[in-house]
Amino acid sequence: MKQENFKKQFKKGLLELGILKLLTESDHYGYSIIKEINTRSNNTLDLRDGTLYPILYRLEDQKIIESYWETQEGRGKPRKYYKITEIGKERYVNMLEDFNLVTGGINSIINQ
Amino acid sequence: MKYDKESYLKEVLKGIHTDRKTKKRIKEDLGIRIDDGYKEDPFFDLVIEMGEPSLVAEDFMENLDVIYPDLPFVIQQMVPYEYRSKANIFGLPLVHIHTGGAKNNSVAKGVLAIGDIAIGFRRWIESNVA
Repeated sequence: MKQENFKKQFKKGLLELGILKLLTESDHYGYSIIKEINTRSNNTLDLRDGTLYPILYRLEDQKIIESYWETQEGRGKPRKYYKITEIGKERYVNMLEDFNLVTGGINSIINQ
Repeated sequence: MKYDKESYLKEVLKGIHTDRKTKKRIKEDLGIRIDDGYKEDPFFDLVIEMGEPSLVAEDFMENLDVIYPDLPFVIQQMVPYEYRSKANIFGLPLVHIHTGGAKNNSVAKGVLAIGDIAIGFRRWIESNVA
């Protein structure tokens, strides 16, 4: 596997965790997810629209998140917000446990 | 190239080969995303902020594949494919393969044309082999 492919695949798996983490804190719309992920990761994750929306569609189809429309004051057009569901919260906790377990294991190997 | 919202969306969607429902979803979400960009930054530049439309489409295609890994084999075979040879004869590509469009309506035009709908001197119509 080429270096670039490895990075892509690695990122894809972890982004779902990052997005769910944001949604456990508060509801977000697409652009705010992109900004938050990029700011918090110091742009190392470089989340783009073409990556974000397919993940959101999959999570929504699996009922891990839900979307709703809301019109903000002073803004004519409604905006689509995403919120995490109860199933999603459970999924997030399980994913985080798995992530900590796996990264802990890998760190032990690398640091030995 | 300079794009406005509509021309940008059109270019992105041109490169995304998926079902109509997903395309509609993408058009709607990217439309809102672009509106948000302009709202927060009056100098918002579509290409700088979001990337060239072809690259955005490529990114979508790469990630949309992940959504449908469990589709039956027959459906997977309907995933769009297009190949157009560089060689031309009388303005037509020597070989043009174009299959798997929405409702099997991808048109192939070439000296050798293979597609859902094929127009050429020698044609193979995928969904209706004679």
